[in-house]
Amino acid sequence: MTPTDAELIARSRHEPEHFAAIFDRHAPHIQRYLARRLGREAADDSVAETFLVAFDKRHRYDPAHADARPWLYGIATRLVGQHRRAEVRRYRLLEAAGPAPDVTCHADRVATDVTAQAMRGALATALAALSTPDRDVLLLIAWEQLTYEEVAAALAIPVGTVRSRLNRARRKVRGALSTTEIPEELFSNG
Amino acid sequence: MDDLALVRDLVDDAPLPDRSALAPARARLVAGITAPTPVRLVRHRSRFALLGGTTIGLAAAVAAAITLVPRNEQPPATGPDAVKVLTLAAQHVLTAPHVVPRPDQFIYARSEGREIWQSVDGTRDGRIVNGGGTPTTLPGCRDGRAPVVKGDEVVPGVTEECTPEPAYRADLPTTADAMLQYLDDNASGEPGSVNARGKDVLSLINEKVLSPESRAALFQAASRVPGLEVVRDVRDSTGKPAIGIAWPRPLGASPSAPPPGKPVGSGTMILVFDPTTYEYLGSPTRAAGTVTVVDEVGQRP
Repeated sequence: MTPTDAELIARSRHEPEHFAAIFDRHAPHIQRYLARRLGREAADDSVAETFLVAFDKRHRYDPAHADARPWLYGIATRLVGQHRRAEVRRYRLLEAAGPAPDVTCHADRVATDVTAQAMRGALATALAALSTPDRDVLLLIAWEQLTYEEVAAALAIPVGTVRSRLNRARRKVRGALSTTEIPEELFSNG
Repeated sequence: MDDLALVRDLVDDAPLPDRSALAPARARLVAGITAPTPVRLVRHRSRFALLGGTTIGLAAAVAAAITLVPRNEQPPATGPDAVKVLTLAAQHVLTAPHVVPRPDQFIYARSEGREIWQSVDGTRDGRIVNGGGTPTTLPGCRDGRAPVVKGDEVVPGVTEECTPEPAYRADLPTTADAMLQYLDDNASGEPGSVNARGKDVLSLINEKVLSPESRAALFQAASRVPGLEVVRDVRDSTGKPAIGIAWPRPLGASPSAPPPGKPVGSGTMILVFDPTTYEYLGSPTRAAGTVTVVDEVGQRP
């Protein structure tokens, strides 16, 4: 029977090499999460750091959690917090990124793309403006699809706090979107 | 499209990095963990309340992973057995002893070495103690403002915007129909999302203390979710045979039987009940938290 993460972590207390299996199971998701928040380059560094911090703290791992991924997301999220400037830069890039060039474009498609780009810009700006705790919760749920319970476990906060942070973040994102100015000519083009 | 979906679409669905892309990081880890001296890392103290990377008890009572069910695709109707189990669970709630707390009291829960005191009306400061570690304040929300907690300590004179989060919800509906309406009105996901409904129901069952009538209504409301299945060969978190209700599995998930002792499908949420009394016991991996009412933070029953 395949050992659970909790079992591997328990074994790694005396036989550290077992911890490499935790990396093999979860590093792809943690790396993609870090790349989404910090960009690819910073993610390559931070993913190793995440697992080194986890290894250092393995004696504090709660064995009741068979799956270690929320715990690892928590550690990765704290590392993101130390790279705030890199993260904000990342949202500026998302904000500026234009739609992919489309050789067959016609008016409708251009309109759609420009609207989508205005939306992306507004979203990226809204994300950058959120407080770090609110953004952590929003992105763990929207991007990484963690459950409220998993986010609570990852960030060591009560589930009620996950909900209130998510609600506040969503309210701010909706507010930012509703005030986005869509260029007027888009409507006359249709 | 809702705002969560828009945020999700902001990042492309990049494929997960493969082994070779992760090889340098893996090499760094292996070098670190096999080093003769303990790995030393520069630790930055977080600016926010972090409880040592572990979890709190009551809130984490059921840590089932639920993945999103694609919208527009409804699972088959719930069979009569699942409805019967949830109806019996509702009846058990109505006959079990229950204490109604006062607004100024606290709900105390302890599980796996963690203790938590949550304000009944959400306006008083609660506390979490993690495995004998430093106690951390759970800020209460008074007049729309809550104290800010940095590390393990309250920052004097600084507050933030908040909404009170009462641990005891005396205000929730007491009939299945009204409870369904409440769940619709407060849905965390898109209208009609079975998956979000699962999270919402679970969060009320596990995190809040409800009146017996509301809790019974919640089980009855849950029985109306399409696609629930009875799991007969399930065990509770202590290994005793139990009866389970599996939330509809995300489409495309593996239907194969799990190894013994593992939850059915990593993405399936299962509620576990006593097979004779139909008392709610938690999940196959987590016991339902037992909660007690106390007068003050720090007081144990």
